[in-house]
Amino acid sequence: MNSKMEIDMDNYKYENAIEIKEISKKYKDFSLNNISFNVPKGSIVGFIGQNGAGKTTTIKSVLNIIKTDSGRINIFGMDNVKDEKKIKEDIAVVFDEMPFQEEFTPNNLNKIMKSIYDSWDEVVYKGYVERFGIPYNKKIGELSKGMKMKLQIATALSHNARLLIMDEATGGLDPVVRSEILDIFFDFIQDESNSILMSSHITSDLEKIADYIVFIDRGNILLSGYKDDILSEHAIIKCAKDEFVNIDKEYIVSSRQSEFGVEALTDDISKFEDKYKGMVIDRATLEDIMVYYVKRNTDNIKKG
Amino acid sequence: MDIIISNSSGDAIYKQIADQIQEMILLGRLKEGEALPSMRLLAKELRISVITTKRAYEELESMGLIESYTGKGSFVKGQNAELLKEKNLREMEDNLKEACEKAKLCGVSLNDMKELLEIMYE
Amino acid sequence: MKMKGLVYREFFLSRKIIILEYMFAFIVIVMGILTRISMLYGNMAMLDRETLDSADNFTYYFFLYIPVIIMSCPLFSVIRSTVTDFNGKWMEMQYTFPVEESGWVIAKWIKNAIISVVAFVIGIVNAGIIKSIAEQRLSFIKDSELKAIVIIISLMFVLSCIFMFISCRYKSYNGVIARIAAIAILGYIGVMLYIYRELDKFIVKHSEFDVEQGMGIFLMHEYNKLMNINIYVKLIIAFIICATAVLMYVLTVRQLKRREM
Repeated sequence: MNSKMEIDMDNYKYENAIEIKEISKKYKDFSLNNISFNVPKGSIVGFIGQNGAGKTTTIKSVLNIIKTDSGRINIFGMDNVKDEKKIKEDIAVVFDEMPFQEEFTPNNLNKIMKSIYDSWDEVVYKGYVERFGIPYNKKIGELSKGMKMKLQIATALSHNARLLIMDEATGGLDPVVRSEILDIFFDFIQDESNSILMSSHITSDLEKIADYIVFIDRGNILLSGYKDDILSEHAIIKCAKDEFVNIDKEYIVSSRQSEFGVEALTDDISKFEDKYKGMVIDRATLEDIMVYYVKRNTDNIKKG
Repeated sequence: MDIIISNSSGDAIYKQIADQIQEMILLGRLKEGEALPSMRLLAKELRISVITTKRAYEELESMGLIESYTGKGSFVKGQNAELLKEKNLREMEDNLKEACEKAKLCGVSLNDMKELLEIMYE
Repeated sequence: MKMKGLVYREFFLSRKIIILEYMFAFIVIVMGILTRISMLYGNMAMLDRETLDSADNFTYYFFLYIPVIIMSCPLFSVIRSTVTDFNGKWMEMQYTFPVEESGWVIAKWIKNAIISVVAFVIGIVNAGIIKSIAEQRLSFIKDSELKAIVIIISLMFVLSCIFMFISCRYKSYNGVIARIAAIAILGYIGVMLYIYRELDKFIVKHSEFDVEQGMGIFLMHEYNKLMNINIYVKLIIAFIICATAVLMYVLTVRQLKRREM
């Protein structure tokens, strides 16, 4: 009895659910360049970026679905390749599309997953399916998009997973369903040993739920840190064109000129406010931050 | 216990939470030794990040208002509530004194100040 | 046994074709039995000697082997299931399971093995019924027909393993069918060349028969040749077949480990 508890305790001694250390992967027209970030235990990390920025490639690398050219990834403190099978007992992945074929029912899914996962809990699964209002014997092909996603989540939460990885999973869902799913994640994270890595370009969801944000663009991490800090340190400033000329560009991420003025993103609003008084300042959303950072990256790439 | 946060007010969310809990403690609505909701539960109910609630509690702890124990939770600390209340009162008096002196320098009358005070208090 | 769920999944996905083929095979078996009965005791017994003889031969082998071939067809549904697994999100999900790559392969193999065994059992039962109608005893070790059934099923099984590997490697219907067609055409050409050569030799030696008779005797000739190959050659062929199966397994698992997603 004692030694089993010790083993369980060992399993929980890691600090970061995921540690990504300088991974690179080269494709024909795209590459991941030395990506590093962590998913601390008990946290929700929002992974944002445009389509094709490298989110899915990174996640696939974490799951060892693709092999990286260099770098290391640790999950639960163990190497993601060497201890792959052991790790995957406790990971649940939710994809943007239902991987099970259309002809299966939740009942069939239960039969399939039962033998695959050691800690598959049929009662928990049935509970979630019922809670989400999915008829237990209805074919997947006849479910709505939102229900398919909830079924995937039900499956994900029914084998005591400690790490939930979502790859653009909430993309095509309506706001009501997305809100319900966020509630489910808040529930999941009540247990401190559970962590979530969520990639999405629906930044409004991440603004609510994420603890950390990692922002990737064209294979490089442009920004990463506490979501609260990122949101409080950035702001949108609006001013006249001639006013903008006089602003020290050190404070500006990038700007957008129009016929009637300039709109720009600053990454240090407190210093900016001290120095330049009297400009219109608006809260920056993650979406704004994304757009302006991508613009800066694009301009930099153009300059060469 | 009710905590209401505004996304559009200038204050950081963690500060709003800390301020509201501080108020409840100082007004006696939260008693000494009473357990605060867990950081995670608070985050879930308010639909915000755990980091935010954690910071709020850390702020309260640094002010000496609460004590956090890993595994058990956070509890209202007794004696210091009174001391902090007095400290806040003293600060308020000092600030008012300074405000009055500045007002005299600019030639603002007492009535004007009272009007301003009424507007500001809301 | 982590594979249990995956095997269940394989059967569930192929259920329609399995049921279809088995129904079809069943119909053919019933037809065969009825034909046999008719030839021995019924209407067909009233035909003249010559026609009866050639009909006898033909129907005997036809109704013995065709059901076996029909029942082996579901083996090839691995092609479709492999391609759809790779083209949808299933393989990605499969890679997130705490299951070895070989698990996915073995699940499909187990399904094919079960289908093969069932085809074998039903084939034997069918042979037993046909032989008992003709008042012949069924002797498993000596009966060349039963050996032929085993050979047919094994060949189909190994062929399905080869096709499964090709599907894993090329992952799209076009690529897979192109390569299978290439193999089929080569095989066809090979068989045709062989028959051509043997037929030539046969015609030279036995020019006295007319076309129909000659064909029948030629086929019997070849069949007997096939059944009476040197025992050592038989063993070598059996070994090659097993080795091919093992090779396909290894190659398929290796292909999966490459993680070309």
